[in-house]
Amino acid sequence: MAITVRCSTLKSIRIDVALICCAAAAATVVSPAGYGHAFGQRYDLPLPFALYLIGAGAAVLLSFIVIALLLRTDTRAKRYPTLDLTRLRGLRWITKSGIVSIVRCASVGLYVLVLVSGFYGNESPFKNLAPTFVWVIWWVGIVFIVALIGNVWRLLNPWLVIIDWTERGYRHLTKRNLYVNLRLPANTGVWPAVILFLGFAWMELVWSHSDHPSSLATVIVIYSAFTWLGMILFGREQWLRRGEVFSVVFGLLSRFSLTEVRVVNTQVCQGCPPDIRPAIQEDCVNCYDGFARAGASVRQLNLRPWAVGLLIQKPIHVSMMIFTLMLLSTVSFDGILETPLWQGIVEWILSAPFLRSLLLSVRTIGVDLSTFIKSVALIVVPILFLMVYLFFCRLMSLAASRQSNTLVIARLFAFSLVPIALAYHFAHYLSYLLLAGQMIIPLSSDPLGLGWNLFGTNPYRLRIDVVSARMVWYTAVTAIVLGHIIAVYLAHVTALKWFKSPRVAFYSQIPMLVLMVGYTVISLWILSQPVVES
Amino acid sequence: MQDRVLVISSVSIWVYPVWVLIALLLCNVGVSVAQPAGSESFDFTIQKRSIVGDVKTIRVTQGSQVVVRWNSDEATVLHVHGYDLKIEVKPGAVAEMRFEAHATGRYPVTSHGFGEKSGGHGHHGTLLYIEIYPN
Repeated sequence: MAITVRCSTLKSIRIDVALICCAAAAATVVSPAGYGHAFGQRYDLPLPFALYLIGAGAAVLLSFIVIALLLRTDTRAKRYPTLDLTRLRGLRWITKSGIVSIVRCASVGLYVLVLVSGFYGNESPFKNLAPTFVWVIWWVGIVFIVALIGNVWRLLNPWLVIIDWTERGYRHLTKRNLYVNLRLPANTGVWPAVILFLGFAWMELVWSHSDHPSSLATVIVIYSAFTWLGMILFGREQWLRRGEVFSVVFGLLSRFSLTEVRVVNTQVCQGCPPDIRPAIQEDCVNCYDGFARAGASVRQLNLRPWAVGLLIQKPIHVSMMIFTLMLLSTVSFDGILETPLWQGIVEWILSAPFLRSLLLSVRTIGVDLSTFIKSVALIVVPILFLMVYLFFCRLMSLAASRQSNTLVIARLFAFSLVPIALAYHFAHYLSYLLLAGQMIIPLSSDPLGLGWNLFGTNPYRLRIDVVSARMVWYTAVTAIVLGHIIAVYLAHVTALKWFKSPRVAFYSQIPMLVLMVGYTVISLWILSQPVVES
Repeated sequence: MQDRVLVISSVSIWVYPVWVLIALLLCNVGVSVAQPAGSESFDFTIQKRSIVGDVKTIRVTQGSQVVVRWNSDEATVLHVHGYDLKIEVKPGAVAEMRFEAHATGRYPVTSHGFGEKSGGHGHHGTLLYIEIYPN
């Protein structure tokens, strides 16, 4: 009884907050900026055709070399080499809680600043901290850090920090648990995050008001309320692993990174539901809750080679496979939206006679046609991606003499495609981060766009010569080729461990190699296209 | 001890190419190209809000002096993104813009309001792309 009362009180507070914010947002003036991509200009020169060919050729050639080298590998389960940073005396301070608390406070401070800027600052996206911080520094920048260095989002997540403080305060005041801990069905996996990610991708790629400060702030508030509600109802860790979409995305990407958090005693992680338990052998890797609860002698903060975190022993849950494929397809879709090919497709759709009546009825409802077409594409592209992927998984299953069925193969190899998407993200966004990211310099002095000059950096003239076209090209091609061979390596090692027989593993990888070469070539092709704004 | 050597060597194999890339990148930050590559000039006429002759992209070399002369049937303000140049074009008069192509890239030229005065960022579509290639 008490639980239901608490739920409805909390729920009504949350709904009130959301409604107030929506009303506030509706009262503001709306001016769409009209950029196809989320926010910010890009001035990249298309990759020259010669480099595109060299990149594609190198990808294919090096794939064969990697496979040849791996054919002689010992297939017995061996743990990748790690170096425990906490055992190094000079680095003990990392785990000291003082540093962690300061970082978490700073993160919450930034979160509040973004909201304040969004609601009370200048309406122009270029004079307000919120759009630049969210779309350039946070969404693009954190992906880089999380994928290369480690899952810092676990430390920085403002929703986690705030609910943690709230929970401690609540327990201190009422001596009761804040979390209701309702049980989710056994096979929920990460489906909530899948749906939320689709929503986020829509906001990033399609929504024309994504760079409008108060709209952005409103959405952040709504998401915050939803996240806290999810955490309170289903338990903090359960929601973070299943429904907090950014924890799931950054958790997935951080599998590529150099660092991991490990508990050398699986008893701690036995309580983890099987549909989201990290599919690793004996130890518990990147289970932060387990890490926090475990004793100091079994905890490790390890340095490890890149990409080995993407190696799995058992097939992942279907929802996690879908999530991964959606992430990969939206990364490519983002690039495709800026190509002349997409422009051509839109023009064809707009002039096709058999679509005329549909488009007219859409327009009369009041929906912008460009938004409508992009929204449909946002659903169609991941489905196409999934179909192509499943087709190749079927080929792999046939090549392996049907030792495993298509879905098992699909769930086993989805992670091995991640390095290609990461490499493309790196190639596509490096110059963007260095150019649009410079806007943070004047915005830090004047986050609300009211004419302040806190650090003396306002006004600031954007330096467009900060990185030359040649460096961008060479970095891009190198990154993509490296990403490709890492992906081939991951798929091969996974196959060797799964199929036991090296011959079967080799045959199963032939379709995978074709898929990966195709994916890499598409990524290179996108980079070789001139950027056009719709 | 064996393990440590193994870790360090396997990590360095992955890390080495990245360090090479970062070093190359850093070498290039802030470097300005000193060679003057001559002067390139273009003339464009805007009619009915697009360029006559359906030219979409012009290519120049880094370091050259670029001169673009504009003619339009409607009054407008043109904006070269990136270089952040603005020029007002009035019907009947030729407006000339000059700049040194010191930075490589692909820069859109957009119009801010045809016929009426328009400040802010309500740009009405790209008229032209200026591509500056490294020399």
